[in-house]
Amino acid sequence: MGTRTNLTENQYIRFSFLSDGQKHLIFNQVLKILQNTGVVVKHDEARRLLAENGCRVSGDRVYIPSHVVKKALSTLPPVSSIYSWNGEVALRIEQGHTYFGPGPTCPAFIDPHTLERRSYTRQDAAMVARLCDALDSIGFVMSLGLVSDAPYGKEGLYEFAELIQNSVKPPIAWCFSEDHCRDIHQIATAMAGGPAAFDQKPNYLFYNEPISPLLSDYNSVEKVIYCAGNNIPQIFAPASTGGGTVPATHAAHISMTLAESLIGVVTAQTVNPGSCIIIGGTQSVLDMREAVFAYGAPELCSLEAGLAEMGDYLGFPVFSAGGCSDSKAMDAQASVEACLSIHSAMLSGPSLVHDVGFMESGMCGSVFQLVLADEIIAKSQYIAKGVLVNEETLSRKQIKAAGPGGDYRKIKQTGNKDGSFSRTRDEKEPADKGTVSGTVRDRIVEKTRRLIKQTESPAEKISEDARQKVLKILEEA
Amino acid sequence: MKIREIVQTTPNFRVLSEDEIERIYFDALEVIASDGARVKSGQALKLFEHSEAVVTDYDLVRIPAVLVEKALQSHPAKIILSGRTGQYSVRSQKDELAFGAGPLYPLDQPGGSVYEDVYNAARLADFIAGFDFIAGPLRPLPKNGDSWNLSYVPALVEGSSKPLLLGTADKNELSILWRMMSLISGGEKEFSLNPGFAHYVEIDSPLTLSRVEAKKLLFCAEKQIPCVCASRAVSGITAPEAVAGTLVQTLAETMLVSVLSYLENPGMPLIRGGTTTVPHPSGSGCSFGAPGLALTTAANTDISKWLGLGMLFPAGITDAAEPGQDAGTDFASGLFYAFLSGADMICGSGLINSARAASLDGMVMCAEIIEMIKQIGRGISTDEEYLAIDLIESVGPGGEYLTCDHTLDHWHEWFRPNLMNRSTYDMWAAGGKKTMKDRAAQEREKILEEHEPAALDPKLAAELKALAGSGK
Repeated sequence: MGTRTNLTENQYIRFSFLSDGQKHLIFNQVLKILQNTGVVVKHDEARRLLAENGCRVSGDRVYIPSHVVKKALSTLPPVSSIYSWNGEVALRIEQGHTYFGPGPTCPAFIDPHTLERRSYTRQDAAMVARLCDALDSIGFVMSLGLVSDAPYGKEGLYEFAELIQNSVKPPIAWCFSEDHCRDIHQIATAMAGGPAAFDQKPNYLFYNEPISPLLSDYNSVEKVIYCAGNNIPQIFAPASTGGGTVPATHAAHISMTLAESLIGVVTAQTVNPGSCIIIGGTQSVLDMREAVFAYGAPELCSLEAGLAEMGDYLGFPVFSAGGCSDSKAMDAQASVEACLSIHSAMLSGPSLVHDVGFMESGMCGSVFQLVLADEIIAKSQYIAKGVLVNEETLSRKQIKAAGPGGDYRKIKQTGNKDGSFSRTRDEKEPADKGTVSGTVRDRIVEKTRRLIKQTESPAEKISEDARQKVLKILEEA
Repeated sequence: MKIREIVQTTPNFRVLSEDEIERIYFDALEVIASDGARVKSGQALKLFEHSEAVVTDYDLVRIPAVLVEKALQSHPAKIILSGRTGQYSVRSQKDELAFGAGPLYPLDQPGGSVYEDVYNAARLADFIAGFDFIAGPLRPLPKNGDSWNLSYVPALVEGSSKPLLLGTADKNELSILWRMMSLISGGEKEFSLNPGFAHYVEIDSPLTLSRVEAKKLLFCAEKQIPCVCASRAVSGITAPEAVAGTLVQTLAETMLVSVLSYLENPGMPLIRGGTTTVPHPSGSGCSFGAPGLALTTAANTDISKWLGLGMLFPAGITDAAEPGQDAGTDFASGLFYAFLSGADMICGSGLINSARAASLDGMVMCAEIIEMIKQIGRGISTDEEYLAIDLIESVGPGGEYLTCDHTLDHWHEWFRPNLMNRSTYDMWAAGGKKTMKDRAAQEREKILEEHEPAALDPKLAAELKALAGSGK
């Protein structure tokens, strides 16, 4: 075979919504919003800090000039790694890596055994964490519920203690107040084996939300400052509702989400230049008939893909949403909505995609939806890898050997797994049997229960010292 | 006023780079020139023998690149299919897509007589705005091969005025079908200007054209009937395991049919197609839910566009036995990639059980999914009205947009769900806990109760039926 030159390959498939010019236009608008409209920051200390660093402050309104935004972006790390508490790299937060995981704080939960719709408990958090460990296409852990049997106000803390001890995949933490942010960090530090070990290998991310439109309340800013100061990788991402908290048109929507996210970035980079803070947002439209934030809407797919593209354009990782549904049942609606948001997320390539397993427009968490989504993610990953075109995969030898009218079963194949059709797990397992003899609902329920039963918690590998420390932190919180 | 602004108005998606397509193309040229293909028709072999192609070993045809390239150049870049009333059409041209319902036979839940069932299925597809064309059975049915015949084509035509995609058992049937469709068009010349259907021919992968299919292809070429030539390339059985290898082989197969049609009569409207997938896990047939089908067909669509040919993309098809949760995944992912790839004709919506039967409820579900995907396809506009900077300025931090005129002006541009339920749990439970499938069934019943398709002239209907019966 001859030598090749001038070859451009399309190794990974992506799709795009925006031209470079359009991305430029949207980013300019973000700068205009921050500079001219300004944002409300309900935190005296933060306002003082921002004023000292070039922002114009008037009352609780902060106007951020574009040079301040650009300076913050210049110190924002484009690459970070998050580790498992046992020290292995778990998430490479950078271009080209997309991880999926559940979301937090659903009030209701589907019991995997009784199928009853009920309140969420600490035990559920442990179970969800174990299940995430068992699912190959799930990269990080969130709870899928709001812990109902924890002391009031400490739900996020109790949840975190369960999540980190029951999975080796990194959890994404949240909590109401900065106090518990500190407790959560102590737990993570104990699990890492001390502050120095945590600095070297951070083992969780902290999730924090501004209030859309363009407002950051005291608690969220307090947590941003705490995380930045302690080198805790954090996410600052609003839930913005088209036609509700932001304009109904997508370009305006995305620019608002970015502007809201950048309040956190500017604050964090002012406190501690170089600290990891991830932009992003959960964006969809307000269903005007039902007055809900539509998690299954196709608009979520476009908005989140557009946001991911903006992140790519700016060179920063993005936190987005997918794998969620407005359905109340394990039906085709649940799978269609999850499918569209997962495939479009995979094709647009944000770093972290959360809310996988959300049902009922975020009001209910379902491990069944999570298990179903895991299969969909695997298929989307297969497609996003694209077609490998090389001497081997072009299969000239095989085509010759089989010949016109021949049978490929009789000849030796390349066995090149990357280049060949993959059979996703549900097809490899005797699962399609389920679609014939039973319904897929039975198949997913059976598979979920089996995984819950089979998967061992990594808790036994946690040192006694760390375990005791976690207990003590919870007691004293 | 702005100048020099490049705006992307729809999503941009591509599997193969230009260089990769060229590599595949050159390999395919080599395959058809050196390995060749088997052609089982004497009439076709004669044409090859009188051309630059080389025929040896009785039916092995090897075709030089010069002939292949001449043939590939001969097909029109644009194909229009028109329905009987002129209201509906499919325009097969680069990046313009049409969604099709069916094959509408056999149905998963037959109701009345076959004629009635087909008529009703066509009526349903006629009503659903998302479907641009409808399909009848494309290949002889494995189990009840003789249960479909031309006498059911009038049921499709009566039930719907959308263009058709049809298969036939042999050349004899095809010639009658062509006469029927010419009758509808108002004559043979009118038909060639505005054909009402595309015909489906299947290539036996690897690289074999059967006698029956070759004769059908030659007839299409003679009469310039738009022809979908589809490979049935099942990975590891009738095609190489690697996707790139399958692309080479299926392109070589296209080259074969292109040259044959060219030798008969240059200029046949050619649409590439194919079921390029993995075997069904049960061991019989092939899988329609496998991601490989979507990936390979999307890659093949890139190649078809590069060649300036049309592409038929099988999508909206599930391996599941009913239109439930698994079907949702298969329907949505297939249709999503078919749409993104920009295939000209996307066919199969509503097929269940690995394309063995059509589900009317599945069709209704696919229609909703198509609307959702089209919504994603509307992309993100960055016109000033859509950036809305003045509005953002005036509302300011902590405000709300619900009561703004801008929201009132634009929220109707969003997807408005018909089958997707977004109510609260309590409302949903009070409404009887209906699933999407239940809602699809309700929708189907409602449409079938109400929809009257455009009337077909009774004289024409009678003539069609008489013609359909003449072949027996």
